[in-house]
Amino acid sequence: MADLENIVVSNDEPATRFIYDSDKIFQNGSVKPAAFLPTPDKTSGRLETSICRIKDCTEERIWHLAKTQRQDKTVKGRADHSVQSAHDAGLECIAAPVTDFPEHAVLLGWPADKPACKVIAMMLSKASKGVLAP
Amino acid sequence: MNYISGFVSHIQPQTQAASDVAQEVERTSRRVIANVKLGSPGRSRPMEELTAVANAHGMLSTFPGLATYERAARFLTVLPLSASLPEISIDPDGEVAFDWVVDDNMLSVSLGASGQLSFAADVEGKISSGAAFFGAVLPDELSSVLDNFG
Repeated sequence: MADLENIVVSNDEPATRFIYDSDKIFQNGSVKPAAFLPTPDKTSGRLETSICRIKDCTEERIWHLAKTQRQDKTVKGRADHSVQSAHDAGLECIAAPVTDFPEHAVLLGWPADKPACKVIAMMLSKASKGVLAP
Repeated sequence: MNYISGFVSHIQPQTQAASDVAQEVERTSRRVIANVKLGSPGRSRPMEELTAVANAHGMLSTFPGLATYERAARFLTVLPLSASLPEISIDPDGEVAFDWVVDDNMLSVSLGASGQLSFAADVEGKISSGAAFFGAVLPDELSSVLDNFG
């Protein structure tokens, strides 16, 4: 996997963010900004948001990944978006493949202050399409 | 000297008592106003949602979580009746998020245990954001944004 890490993902690729909490989904089925807010990486402390590259994925594969990446939670939905929308919001998308999840990538470049993070998360929310889990 | 000391010691309890009464009146009036607002048709829904979401995230069993919950509950009581009802979620950092979406307009507010409040809004394509302290009164900058979410 090492040779695939840290590669900037092309803006024209589609991606998705898996959602495991139903409170991150609006009643109208769209995705709330909180679904995109970053968390600190456990080792580096760097703020990042995990996403899945879905360019070459079937629907079955996407939901399989969603279900297997968080054994402790049930997937509630996903937020489909383009890598371009993350770029437009000021973020960079970097490939971060892991075992059994080569499609894994992270959104980087989050600012330190919360209002600025919320602006970016809101932009991603508005640019994404919510898909409820089957 | 003794007379003055006696006078002061006599007057202080009355002043303290008056202050206590004033604070109790203020607390009661806040409670009554909050109850009236939350008792209005549909207005109690966000409070129920807040409690359910807080429970789901295990917030009510930790001190910072409970403090955040109480702060968020207070925030709900100061929202103007003219504003539509927010939807509620929990941010990854444990703050409570209040979200409004009306047509293409969106407002997202996050509130933490110590009253730190941050928001981002997109109103007719104009993006704004800010931070403020929330104690018991809706910050002015947020109040003006909320006018767009009636």
